[in-house]
Amino acid sequence: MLNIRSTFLAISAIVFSSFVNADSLTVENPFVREVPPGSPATAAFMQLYNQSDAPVRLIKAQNSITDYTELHDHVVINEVMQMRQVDAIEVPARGEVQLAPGGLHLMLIGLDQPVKEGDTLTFNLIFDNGDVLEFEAPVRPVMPMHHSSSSE
Amino acid sequence: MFKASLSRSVLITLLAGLLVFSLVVVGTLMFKTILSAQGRNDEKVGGPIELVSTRGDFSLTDLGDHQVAVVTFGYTYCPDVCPMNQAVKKQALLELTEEERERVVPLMISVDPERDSLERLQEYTAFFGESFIGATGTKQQLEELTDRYGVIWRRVEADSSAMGYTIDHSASLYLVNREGDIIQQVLYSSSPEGLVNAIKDFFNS
Repeated sequence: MLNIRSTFLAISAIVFSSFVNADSLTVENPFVREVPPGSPATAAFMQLYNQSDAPVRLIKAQNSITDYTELHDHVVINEVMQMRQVDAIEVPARGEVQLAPGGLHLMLIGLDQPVKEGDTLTFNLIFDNGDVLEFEAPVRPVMPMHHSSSSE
Repeated sequence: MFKASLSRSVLITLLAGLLVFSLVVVGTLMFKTILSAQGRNDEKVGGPIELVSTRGDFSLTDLGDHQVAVVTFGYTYCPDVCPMNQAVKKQALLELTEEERERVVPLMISVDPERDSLERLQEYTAFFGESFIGATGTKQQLEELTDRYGVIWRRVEADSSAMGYTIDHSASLYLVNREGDIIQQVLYSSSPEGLVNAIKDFFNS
């Protein structure tokens, strides 16, 4: 009995360390934006956390449905939206970085068919310290902020 | 001797004054030139919108007297702002009565005519609703039109990206009537509130 349990623990330890190996790196709330048919690309958003004492840089990413996963940033200057590819996204030591609408995101390029709510994509994020973060992310529709026609 | 040095110092003062003066003049001129090269004509005159669209030839003059177009500029490669702008239009329409809704024409103008065919725009806009129209034009047409509307867009090469190029573009929404008057410019937001208010203001005016 004890043996089975310890075997299970050993296996789960192995599974965990190889999967979310990045003991120091974690991802939260990842999602992919549902885009209309005809869109050649979509974006993925998430929060990345770094529990280690050294900054880590995300340098490469892959996903299960498009050939290209690029690191991009958005800036708005005088109401003009500008999207730029970036070489890396740094997760500060004992800190976090937000990949969120209107800012940093993963750009998934080369959609053969639209991604729809209910779909799930798998991601691999590769960091400059050799860590690889593997996780799944659901597709979510574009949701405008809720607006209640309050007291008028 | 004293006289000579005095006149010399007067001369030097004069020359120095002249130098400062000309520097100021040249500086001001340069500043103005830079401003006019960077900044654009601030006056947004609006005017006709006549483009090929997912409904055949589109013209603002096809709108009824009581109708208003909600115009945005973008491109289908844009994964964030452009779908959000359409979703905001959709949400705003849902907050209107059916009668009000029929008076609103949602229009997206693609500033990426190279990649955004009408077929692609049709798929794209139909996703948000039957009333959504997609339009585009030649580079010259789009330049002339966006200049009148004070809309900035520029192609930016992205050699290391699989996209090849991206397009910087104004994210605002424009309420425009059939005469091409810009009733209101609504700043980009992920909330439909500003747009709903602008539409209601138009209906109540």
